[in-house]
Amino acid sequence: MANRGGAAQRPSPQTQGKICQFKLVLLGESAVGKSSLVLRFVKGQFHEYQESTIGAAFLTQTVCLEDTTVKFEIWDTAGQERYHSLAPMYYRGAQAAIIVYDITNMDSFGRAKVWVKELQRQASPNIVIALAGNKADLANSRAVECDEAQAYADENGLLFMETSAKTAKNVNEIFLAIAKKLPKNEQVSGSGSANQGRRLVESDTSAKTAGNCCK
Amino acid sequence: MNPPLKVTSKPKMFTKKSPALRIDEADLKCKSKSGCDFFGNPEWDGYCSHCYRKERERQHNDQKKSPNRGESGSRASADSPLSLSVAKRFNKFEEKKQQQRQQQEKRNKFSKLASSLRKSTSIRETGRLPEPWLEQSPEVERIKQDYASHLASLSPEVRQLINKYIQGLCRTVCADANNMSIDELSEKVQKFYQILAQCMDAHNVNQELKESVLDYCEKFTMTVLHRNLFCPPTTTDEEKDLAIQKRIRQLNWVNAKHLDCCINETSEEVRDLVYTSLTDLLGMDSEKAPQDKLQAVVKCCRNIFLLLQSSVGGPASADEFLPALIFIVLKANPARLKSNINFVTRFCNASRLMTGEGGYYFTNLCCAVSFIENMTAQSLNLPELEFEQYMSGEVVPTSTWDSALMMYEGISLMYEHIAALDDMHKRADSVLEGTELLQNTMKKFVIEMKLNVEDILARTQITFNSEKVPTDIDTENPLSELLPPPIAPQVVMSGPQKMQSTLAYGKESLNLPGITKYAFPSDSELDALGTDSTPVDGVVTLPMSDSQEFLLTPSSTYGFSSLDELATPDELCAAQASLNFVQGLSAVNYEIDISDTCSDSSAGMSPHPPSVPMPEQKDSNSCLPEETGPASLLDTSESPTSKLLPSPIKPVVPGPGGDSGEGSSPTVMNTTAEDTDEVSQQKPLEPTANVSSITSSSEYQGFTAQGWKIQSIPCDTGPSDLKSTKRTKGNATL
Repeated sequence: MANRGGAAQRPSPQTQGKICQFKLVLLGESAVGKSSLVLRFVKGQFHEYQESTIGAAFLTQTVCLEDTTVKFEIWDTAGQERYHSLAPMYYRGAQAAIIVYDITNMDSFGRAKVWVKELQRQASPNIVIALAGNKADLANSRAVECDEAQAYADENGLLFMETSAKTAKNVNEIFLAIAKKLPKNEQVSGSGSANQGRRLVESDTSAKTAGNCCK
Repeated sequence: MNPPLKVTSKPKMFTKKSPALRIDEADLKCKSKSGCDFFGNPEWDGYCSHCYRKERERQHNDQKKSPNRGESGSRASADSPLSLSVAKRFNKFEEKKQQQRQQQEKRNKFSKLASSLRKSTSIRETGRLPEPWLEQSPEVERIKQDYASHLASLSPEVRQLINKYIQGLCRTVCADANNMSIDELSEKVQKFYQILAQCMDAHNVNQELKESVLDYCEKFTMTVLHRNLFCPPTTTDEEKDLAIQKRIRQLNWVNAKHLDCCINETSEEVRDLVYTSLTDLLGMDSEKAPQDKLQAVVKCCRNIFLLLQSSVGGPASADEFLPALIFIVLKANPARLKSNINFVTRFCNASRLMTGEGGYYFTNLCCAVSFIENMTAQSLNLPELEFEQYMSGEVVPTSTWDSALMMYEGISLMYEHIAALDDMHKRADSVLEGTELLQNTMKKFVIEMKLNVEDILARTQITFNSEKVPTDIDTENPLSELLPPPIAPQVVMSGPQKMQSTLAYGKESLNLPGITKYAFPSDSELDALGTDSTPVDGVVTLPMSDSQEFLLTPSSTYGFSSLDELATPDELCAAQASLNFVQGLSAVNYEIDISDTCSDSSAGMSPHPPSVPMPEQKDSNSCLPEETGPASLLDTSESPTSKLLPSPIKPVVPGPGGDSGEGSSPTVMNTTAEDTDEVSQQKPLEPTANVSSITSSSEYQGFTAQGWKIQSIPCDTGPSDLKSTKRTKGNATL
């Protein structure tokens, strides 16, 4: 799987089969390494940034599966608590979400749980949610046990992996797992998303409610 | 009820007095049509208080019913609380925004007017509408041109279809813009996009071309229909715009710190990027097609990432980006923000809006706006009270002060530096001036020194020579002592003979000390020249001149010592003689003194006298036969001194002096060399008579003898001449 993942990263111009585009939202407390994870996945970089990499907030990456090409559009979100109430605007219409926490930080795991709940309640019902315990390279100062997180993930039907953006451990794998789990027969850019797009405007109210429920 | 009556009674009184200003009572009555009998008040629009309140209520209700009418009022209220506490940093943008707002107001009013007009016309002549969307603006033309190649590559069939769809949409929207809710319109437009996409899919148009054609359709229709669809009167968009604008204005105190936004405001590069992103965001309003608006947002956001990159030191994540965007929105306070956002969300191709960079950034913009709208003390991590104070403008956040202080610090530092630089500049200037001065003075000094040295050299040469010569003379003095005897016989002799003798003597005496030596100084000085050339003559003339002249001539030359001598004794000869004896013995001393004084004295003056006295003395000696003994001594003693001093002037002085009669010593001095020459040349003839006259008066001779003695001494000091002349005059009178 890792093998294929590595090879599959590079998008081939002549794609056989269909192309599926998915919107993936990154959620999680700030400083848990959301953008590092994405940068590792998309650019293969960690801390050695290239000039071309302006921002890590919006990135796209294509993953090739057997018969389909999955194009991820990765939307980063601001992790600070104060922007929590804005999250619904980001994950609206998203087909996938990765909720990231820091294995050395118990609080971030707590926040992750809140995110999971919120997504299950408010996001589109068939959203694919993955839980990523980042900074696996810092296992010495681990605060969140792997088993505990695994148990929680199983309980809630989430994909779960402990990742490390620094060592690239499980980074490609988690994206591939998501790509596999996503339904490919559905038309992504059709009318469904159009409706959601239109609803963006009235998001204030929903954002408020979201904020309230988290308080 | 009464007070209004009282008030109005006053004008009545006046009206009686001046009928021209008469006002009907009816005019003063309440304007209310319900026949209210109370008087009105201009402050209440001519209503009485009761009716005014009623009217206000009615208007208020109307406003609520049709939100557009209330705009002017609400806008005014939105404008007023502005900017007393506005941070000055973004003044520029504030101005821009105000301009935009004004434009917007105008535009809105116009569009409303236009739309209402259109409505009326469209109602009247439905169906056969002249299709206003066909009156194409240059913008539309440009869009057509931009996409001409794409359209050309479409099959004619598809192109026709697309044109049909576009026309259909435009027609329906134009017709029904005011009858349909904005959501219905939006639905219609979105459906239009989908139909187009399906149509092209059906005709197997390749994906890329399809996208660009979709773009074209969107741009074209939206540009054409912009008037109808952007902020239509059926929506509350405009009110929302004003609300958010007011809100942002209230929040102008929020800075990067409050938002945990890592914008490095002190960096110039970052500041420039902040400004560009601000202008990008403001540019959103000027675009017409939703896609272009989206692009403006994307541009703005990319700039934000750029500016964050330098502050963060790597690709910024959403954690940094969103606060920065909020900050930018707060500072930009773009015109018609809500209208634009709504316009884009409603009429932008949904597939564009939900995916891609544009979609992401636009979502972020929506988030930022939402955050701003719902911003609380909590969301800024501020105490409730502080937040309220800031919002009400009671308190200006300390951070503003901090920045102001920082700026002030910087500015004051700058001024300090400038002052220091100025000071240094001045100092450098003064140093330069000083050096220049110094240079000049040095040059002057050199020149002066040269001149002085030349002068002094010239003089000193003389003096040195004369010193040496006098010493010779001194040595010869005994010889000169030997000489007197020859003089004495001359005295005895008749005038002319004397003359000759004196001449001879003078020549001899002059020659002895070395006239040639005198000649050198004479060359250097004009006066000296004249005098020098004529010394011999002068010698001759002097004795011949009047007694006064004699007195004058010595007077110019007199030194202190001579004066003293003169002042003290009229008894003269004996004492002087004794002195002279002593002097004669100590002649060497004299010479030395003279030489010193000569060197000290100013140019020209001092040298003249001695030459004259020389001959005079001899003359006097010759004139005074009885005193020959002492006289000779005097002569011997003085002769050297007189020789030392530049004698030439003396002859000159007497010459003109004699001509002009009694001339003050300075005038004598001033006389030109030529005159003196002439005079001196003429003199030789005159003396005979004069000499005889002189010789006849023995007393005079005595005086003159004294003078000569004195003269010999005076030679030392040039400058003292004036004093000496005065005194000598006095003496003369005596």
